Amino acid sequence: MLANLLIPSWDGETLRDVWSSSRQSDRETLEEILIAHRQALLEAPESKGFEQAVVSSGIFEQWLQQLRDGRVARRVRAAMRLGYFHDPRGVAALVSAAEDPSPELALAVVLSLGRLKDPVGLPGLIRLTRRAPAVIPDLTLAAALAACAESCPAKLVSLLEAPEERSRVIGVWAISEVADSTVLPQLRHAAWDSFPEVRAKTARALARISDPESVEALNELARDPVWFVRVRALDALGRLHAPAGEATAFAALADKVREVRYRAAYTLRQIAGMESEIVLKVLAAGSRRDFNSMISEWERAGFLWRVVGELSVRDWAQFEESRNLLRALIAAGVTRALMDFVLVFPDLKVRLRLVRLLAEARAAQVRADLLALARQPKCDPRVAAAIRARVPDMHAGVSSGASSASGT
Amino acid sequence: MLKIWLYWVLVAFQAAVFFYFLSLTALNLVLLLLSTVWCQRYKKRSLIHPIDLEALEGLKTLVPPVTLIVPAFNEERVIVQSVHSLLAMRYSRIEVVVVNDGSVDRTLDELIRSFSLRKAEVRPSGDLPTRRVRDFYVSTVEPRLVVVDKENGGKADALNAGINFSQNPYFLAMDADSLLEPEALANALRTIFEDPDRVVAVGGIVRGVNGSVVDVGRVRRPRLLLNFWVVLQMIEYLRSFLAGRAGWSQINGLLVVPGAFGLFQKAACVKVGGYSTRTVTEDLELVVRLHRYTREHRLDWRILFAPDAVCWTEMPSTARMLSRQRKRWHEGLWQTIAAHKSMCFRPRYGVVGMLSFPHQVIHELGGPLVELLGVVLVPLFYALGLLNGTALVLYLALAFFAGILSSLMAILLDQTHFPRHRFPRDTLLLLLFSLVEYFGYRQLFLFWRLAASWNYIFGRVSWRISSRTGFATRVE
Repeated sequence: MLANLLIPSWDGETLRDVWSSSRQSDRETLEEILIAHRQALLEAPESKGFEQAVVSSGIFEQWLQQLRDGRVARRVRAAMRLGYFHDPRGVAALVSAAEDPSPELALAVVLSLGRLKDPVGLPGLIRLTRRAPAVIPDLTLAAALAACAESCPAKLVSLLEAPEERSRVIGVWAISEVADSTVLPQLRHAAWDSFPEVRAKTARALARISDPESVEALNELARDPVWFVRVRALDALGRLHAPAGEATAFAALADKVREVRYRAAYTLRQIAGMESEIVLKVLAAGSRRDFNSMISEWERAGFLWRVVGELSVRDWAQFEESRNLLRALIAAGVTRALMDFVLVFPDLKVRLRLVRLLAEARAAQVRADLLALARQPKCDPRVAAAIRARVPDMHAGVSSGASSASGT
Repeated sequence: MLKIWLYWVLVAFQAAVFFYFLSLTALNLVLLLLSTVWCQRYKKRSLIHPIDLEALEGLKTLVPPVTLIVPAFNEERVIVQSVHSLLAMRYSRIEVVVVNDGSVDRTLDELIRSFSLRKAEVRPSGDLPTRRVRDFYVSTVEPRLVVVDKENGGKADALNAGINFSQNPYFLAMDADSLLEPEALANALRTIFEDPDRVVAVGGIVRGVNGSVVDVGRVRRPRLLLNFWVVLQMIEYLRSFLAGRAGWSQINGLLVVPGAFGLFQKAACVKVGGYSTRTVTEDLELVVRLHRYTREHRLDWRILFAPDAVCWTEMPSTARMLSRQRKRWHEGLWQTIAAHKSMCFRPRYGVVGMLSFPHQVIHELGGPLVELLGVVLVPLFYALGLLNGTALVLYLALAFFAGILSSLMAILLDQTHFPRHRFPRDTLLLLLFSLVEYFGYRQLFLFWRLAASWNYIFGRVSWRISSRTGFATRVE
């Protein structure tokens, strides 16, 4: 709004007049306004016209000049400003500035080139990545590289062959963002890199490119000696929904590292869905640790709610499958959430069926919990009646006996 | 005979006071200098944000996910608004774990009702010991929110439970009644990502929300409440953060990451055993333990301060509540120092062992004793004619000016580098109150610290305090 008042029409001449008649402090304010307006327009149709107006107004030349010479702070500011308005001269100037030894300026250049998304800036960014000043975080460099390499991802491949580990990590990270299948062969090669972080990021890239041919490489990575590579590989297999990864994921459920087990459960959920068959298989294997990892991961995605919901389906086979699964789960001690569902599940019929299943449980604690549930005020009277009908209240006698004993 | 005896007491007293005064003033001045340089550098660096989510689209998917752990004990009034404000943060890759620490009010019910929670069979993914977790809830409307319901065990215990259920590599420990600025998390993470291999914890700055305009969980217009206690605390906080912790951060000797805003690398915290439930200032103790671990295992971990990671919290506005808070902090300091006393003056522990820790022992724990001796002995010696009046006045004047220099510099650094209170009236209030702080407030503060020391020494610090008395007092 303020920008509209100050600069009513977005032509270069007007801007030039306003700029030349402004004092230094006002110029800085004007620059801020121009950038804020540019951000506000972003993808709007008038965006291009506005950009042209700024580029042709003389302000842009001023920034180019400031970027070339002056104090570092001023050059940094100019580099940041140039990143908001696209013009080949600006990109070229930023690429030259990327060679500057000042880490602050390098960071500003990275952000600006990334914002401009111009492939012309890519070689400069790649060179900068190779010498990688510590002040620039890896993920910032990767994001900037990815933004510039959208139309030419193959240019990033040179980073995968760099001798420095950091360059390879950033390179493969950027490739994972671009997610283009043209670099798949080089990526599969990177899956054998000696540096674990590169292998882990390669798994991410393979998942994002989503090529079924990558499953084999990912299956290999899922057996990597380094745990976080295994986690990434399993995650990638899950994202690919690749049936060929199911066996790997199932095996990884027994991994000694908890994070890997959780990721394996996620992968199974993604590949095969939350199938009762898998649950029964894990239960049959008898490892409480594996089962806990799986149920914990699946529950965050609403596994039990879905299984309980299937108690209302008309398809007998599906109903039977859900019922058997719930019986197995109750026998395995998964009752806490189910007890809550007896109170809160929206379908009364399902709640009553759930009561019946819980009442069948051999564990005395489950039956006691059910009775306690029936006594709760928020328990539906029909559900409470069903509980009382199915579970004899042995505690009533005990407690009355105890109270009479204490009375004597 | 009595006179000779008194003479030697006076000599010893003078030597002790001189050493105390000299070391404290020198340290404060050095810290002030370090802080000024550090703030200058930090400000210069922060002009360009390397993980600016608006600048680079790719960053939104590349930044690491962070778990916000919100321990809640009897927070029914604020919990829903607090969670809403966290979920609306500009940093999108978050998971919010609210730990209901055995609240006896309707905290859990409010959460269940507002976020359609339902129980889930989720086991903890960590092994830190905690009190029994009763239930775990997931939200049917907000997948980023989970709630852990556990038996009361104090804030440290609740945080450990939160760590156990968190799924991300970093976690932010905070208070349920605190409000974060939308950029706070990204700012703190920037400090980590400038050196991800070494920085394991980052503390934010805590500011008082009293008097500010708050709307939908955001501080829209920061103002300063004209309340004696609040303004003085504001000065104290600014001094502590900007003229103290900034300097400690520069030399990797920072011992305190505030409980209201502490961003940690989960793996590092789990390695050292999580929060300790045996102290009432779990935040301080954890940081000391992290320092200890890094030195004992020859690691190069760093614990830093991010002055633009702002957390707004309600400050106690009555003497009674303030005294409770300060006593609790001082008792916690005693407990932490007692637990790690072997670190003191040990070169093995680097800056922490030789500087930060002795500073806590001599100036923070010993300070009240020296000040008390001064209050009792100075008038006595003066009455006996053993003190030179002019020297005494000069001494006091020097102490006063050295003291207010820190406060004034902190206010100046705040206004020039990280301004939040932009109204001239607020700045004026801060400046005026920094002059009167030494008349009354410091003496009261001394009394509270002495009381806390008494409680600790004579075993009156009961573990009931750790069941969140102080946490609850933050809400007025």
